Amino acid sequence: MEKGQHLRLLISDTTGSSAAYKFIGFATDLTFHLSATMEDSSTKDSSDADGNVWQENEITARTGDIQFGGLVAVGTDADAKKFKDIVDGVSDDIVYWKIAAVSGANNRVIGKTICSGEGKISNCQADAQAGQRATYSGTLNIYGPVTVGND
Amino acid sequence: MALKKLLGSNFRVVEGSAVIAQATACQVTVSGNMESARTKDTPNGYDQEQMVSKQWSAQVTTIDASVTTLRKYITLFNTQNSGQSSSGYAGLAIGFDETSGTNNSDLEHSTDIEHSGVALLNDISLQANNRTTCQLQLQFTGNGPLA
Repeated sequence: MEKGQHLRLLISDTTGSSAAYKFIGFATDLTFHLSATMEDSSTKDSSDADGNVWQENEITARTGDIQFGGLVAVGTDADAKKFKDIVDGVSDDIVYWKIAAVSGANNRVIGKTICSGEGKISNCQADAQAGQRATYSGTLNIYGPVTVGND
Repeated sequence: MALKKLLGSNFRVVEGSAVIAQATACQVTVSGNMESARTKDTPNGYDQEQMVSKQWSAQVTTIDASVTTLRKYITLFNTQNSGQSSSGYAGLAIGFDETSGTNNSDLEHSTDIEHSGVALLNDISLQANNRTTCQLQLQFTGNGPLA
């Protein structure tokens, strides 16, 4: 990242272009993970000049998930209600997510999008300490393709 | 008597002809797929294994990956298709070598440790915590020989 810039996870109940994207929650901590399932595609006649047989592989499937922490609601009361529905709804509902570079005061200026997509929150934990606003942590399972940002 | 030079201190993973930048850790693993060759008349009951094939993998952990770099590897992950046998896509040319200087970004490198091959990017992990720079980890699985 450029100096002073960080990555942040944004979630929304609607999709949209980067300019129109209205997010209702963002997380400060994230681990984004993509993994490919590999299958041995070697045949009995694959070998190098020295006679060694080397395994060859094919990608047969892709999976992804995002571990998030420090997720808080932002926006209006109506947005907070939507946010509540999302985080309460460890369900089959689709959540729209985006990972973007942020900067500026309190890192609330959203810059370029790294990637975005759809997902489902498979677990969510609220942490509400005395004198502090609640934050949420959990797992968002990526549902379908990951779109790379081009803004 | 002078000590022999300890190799591997500037070990790095390269993609094509360019180093994978900002690496903090590099790992390359070569392993053999073994098959038991024990028969009923093998003495003493000890197994006798033979190597039927080999495979290799590489892992790089980097800090401060740029937006461009992150997009590049996610795009690669999305677009790489099946292996050589069906689609013609072999993978990304990567290798590992050792720099001759003290800086891992030196263009010149030692040929004491130098290998290369084609690999598929099979795992991306991006960690970005509050008040820290993001850390990117890439895992490659070798697709065919390591030369």
